Amino acid sequence: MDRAIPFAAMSYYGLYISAEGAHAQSRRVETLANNLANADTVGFKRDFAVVQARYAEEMQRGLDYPGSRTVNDLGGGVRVAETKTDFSPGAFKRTGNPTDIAIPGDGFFMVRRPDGDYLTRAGNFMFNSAGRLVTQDNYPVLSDSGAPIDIDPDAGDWRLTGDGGIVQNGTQQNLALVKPRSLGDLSKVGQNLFKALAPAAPIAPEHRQVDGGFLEQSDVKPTTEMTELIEASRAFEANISMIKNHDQMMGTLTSRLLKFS
Amino acid sequence: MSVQTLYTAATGMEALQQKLDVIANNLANVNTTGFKRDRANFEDLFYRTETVPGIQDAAGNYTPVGIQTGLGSKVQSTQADQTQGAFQQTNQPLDVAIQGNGYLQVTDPTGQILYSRAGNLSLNANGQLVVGDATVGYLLSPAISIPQTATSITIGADGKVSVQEAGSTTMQQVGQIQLARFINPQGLMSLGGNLLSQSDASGPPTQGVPGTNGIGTIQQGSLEASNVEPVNELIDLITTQRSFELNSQAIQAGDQIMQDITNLRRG
Repeated sequence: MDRAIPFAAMSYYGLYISAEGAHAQSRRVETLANNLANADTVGFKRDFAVVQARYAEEMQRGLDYPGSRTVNDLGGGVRVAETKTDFSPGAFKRTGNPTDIAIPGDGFFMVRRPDGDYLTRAGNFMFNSAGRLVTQDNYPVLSDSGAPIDIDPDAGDWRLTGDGGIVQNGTQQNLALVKPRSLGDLSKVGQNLFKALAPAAPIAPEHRQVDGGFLEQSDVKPTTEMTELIEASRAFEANISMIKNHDQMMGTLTSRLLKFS
Repeated sequence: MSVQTLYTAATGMEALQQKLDVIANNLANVNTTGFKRDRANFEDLFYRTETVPGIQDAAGNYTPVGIQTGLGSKVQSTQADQTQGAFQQTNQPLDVAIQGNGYLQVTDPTGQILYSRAGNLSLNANGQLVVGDATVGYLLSPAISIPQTATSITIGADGKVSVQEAGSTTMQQVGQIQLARFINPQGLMSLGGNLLSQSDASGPPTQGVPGTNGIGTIQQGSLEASNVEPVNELIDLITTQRSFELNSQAIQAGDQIMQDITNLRRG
């Protein structure tokens, strides 16, 4: 009789597990909403929430062990462990604009913001009034030597080479094409930019390749996003129903106890 | 909370609506001489970082990439597509098309120089060349006067304007059309009426005689049509509309979540 009631058997616990489940699903919906909002963003890479099962609280506290086959072995609900970015390539769209540049295969351009250097796949660049190659937010695009790319505004035509060089009057400046050690190293900061946690290495000269006059579209696939949206909403509803069930159960229990006392 | 979903999807819808405006304007200007189509450039908004990548959480798990939730998108810029439009043969002596990057220069009533690719020139009451309409058109700069006795006008590829007068067999040069080019023509401000003005983004104009410095040459008897490709615009229209619908679905999902939460508590 003095055996403690396992924590998981207490009714409130299930309530919290369901609440967490609902919370995780609503977090997924937020991520999906951002993907859909960026279905037209150049060089955008979709995110997805990684949902992870949790051990029951008894196990986390070290009072039981996984595989014990007790009531605690049922699991302790779920949580969003991380949001990952899907770096699969987006479709290339022909624009014909000479300063639109797409990178086939791996690699990122480097862009200098006042607070540091960032990576991007969005190649909708342009030359500003000073002849400097900039992003749409007026951040300089860097060359492989880490300096901004400037051309002489009065010296006439320039062209882009297939390996990412900008040639004017016989002088060539190479666009920085870099690859982070791991794609998991990159975190998004907005403005189509990624921050690399570790320094990114330049791509070997023989693997440098760019397509002028093309833009990489967002890799958001509407069908996938929609399917996930439906799934997440339904899973959310299921968790909400569980909360209601728990509530009802406890209501019944309480009223019975009150009747006997 | 899924209120975020509502706001995130709303930013997407707003940006897409702006893109629709741009497409509508492009389509409206399919037949506008010298019109350059615009496109909307999108960017993602900032991110809410809940877990910094690499941190160890309470359960002892490392989070290799962290938890970041994006907060939507916005239109970053609308950019004019500077590709050349199709050339339409009109055989009118006062229609000129520019082959290359140059712009015609005109003087507005306040004396400011504006730029245009629309080469449908006409003569005003004083016999001066104007861009656009003969009554409201702005004077070409530098001004060129055509004598009233002229029977034919010839505009050369190099911008030389010559006339033949009644009773004469020789051509006589009466003016020289000059063009301007910009390092960043995408930074020019559209003023409507086929006119553009210089801005901080476009940089100052480099002036020159047609045919020099890659500034472009002049083709008499032709007009540059708008570079709007109706098929591409319609495809953009369809995809934009669909994206808009997808975002509205996200709003509905967010709304449903809120409703479910609200109905949680039993009366």
